[in-house]
Amino acid sequence: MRYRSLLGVAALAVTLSTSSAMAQWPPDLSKYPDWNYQWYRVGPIGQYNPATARNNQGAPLTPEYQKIFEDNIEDVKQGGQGTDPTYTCLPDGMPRLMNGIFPMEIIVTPKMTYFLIEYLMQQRRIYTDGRTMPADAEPSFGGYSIGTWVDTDGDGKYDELRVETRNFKGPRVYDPTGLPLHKDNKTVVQERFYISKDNPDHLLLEITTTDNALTRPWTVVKTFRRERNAIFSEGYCGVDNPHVKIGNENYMLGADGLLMPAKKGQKPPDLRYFK
Amino acid sequence: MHSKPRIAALLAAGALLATTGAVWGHHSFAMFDQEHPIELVGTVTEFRYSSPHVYIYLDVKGQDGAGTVWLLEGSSPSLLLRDGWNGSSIKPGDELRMTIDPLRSGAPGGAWQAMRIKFKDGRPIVAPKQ
Repeated sequence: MRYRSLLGVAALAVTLSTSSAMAQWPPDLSKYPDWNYQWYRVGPIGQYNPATARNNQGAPLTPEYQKIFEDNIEDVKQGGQGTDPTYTCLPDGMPRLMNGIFPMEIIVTPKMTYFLIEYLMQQRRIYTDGRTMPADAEPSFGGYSIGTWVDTDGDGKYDELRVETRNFKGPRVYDPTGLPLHKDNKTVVQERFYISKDNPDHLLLEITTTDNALTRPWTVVKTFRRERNAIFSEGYCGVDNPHVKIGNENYMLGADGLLMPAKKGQKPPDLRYFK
Repeated sequence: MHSKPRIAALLAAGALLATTGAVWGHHSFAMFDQEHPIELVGTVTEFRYSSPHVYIYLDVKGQDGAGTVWLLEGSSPSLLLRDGWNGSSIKPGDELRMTIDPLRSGAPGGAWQAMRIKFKDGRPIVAPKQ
């Protein structure tokens, strides 16, 4: 009997010590920066590189993908959607997620940083618990993100979040201009988040994309403005979206729910299965 | 040195980018002819304050008196609400005067921007912020 009691006490001690190591609540956030706000894009809407003209953003595309991009531009001129797949409400995926069309909220915890992105109600999870990239994770539009907090000035507090994201699926493009990423989905996105030295309410993002559609890694800098009086709203895309894709053509649903052509002279879809 | 026509073309392109910028984001608006806007006057049958785009269904009478309901795509609630809009800013039965970019195909659809629409009697949809 006494032996069984000792076993019980030992088991309880192991359980307590294990759970203590697994989760500390509330977490100690004293070393982490106060980024738990809503953040607004600074710069043009729906444009990956905010520092350039919309149709010449400086992407070092390979000749093959430059041709794909130019063909996409020609389709858009006719009223098409080119290479951009998101008009039917497909998710943006990375790195387009960080265009910040609508505001985003950041939530920092020691083991995970969350990005709640209002546009399409998308979210990112940045694992900061020391894990390595899993070998068997399912590919996703947002990819698998592993982050590391860095104390760049040695003051004992973290001031920069570095993130590497891999393991994608597609189709993905950078923005509505149709700037393409490679179809092999072997994209690697590296990010550095830190507060601007010139403005404590500006979060800077240096985002470097390595992709087989590029001749070299491509770095773009984005800025987000801290919003202390947040307004949150829903961003579900599929509720009333009238844009549809049939075959390789984009059409639009009319007020009566019937199919309308989007392009001048566009033919109806192939109805061979309607007999 | 730029010729006057070229400068005019560049200014026009800049103006186009400036105006289209307000609605780009989710997808290209290239199916809407932004170089040839038209004016519609009609009666709202539905106002869908949905994301990522807000839709106005506008019944427009033709010269023969027959009505056609146009599906008109605008900006997003996320952006409009910060200018004071909400789901009750427009109601069925309201009469609107809208400058829209029509579908290139000629079908009854188009795109609108908040700054280019008002009630038929000239009142703004949402009073400008002071």
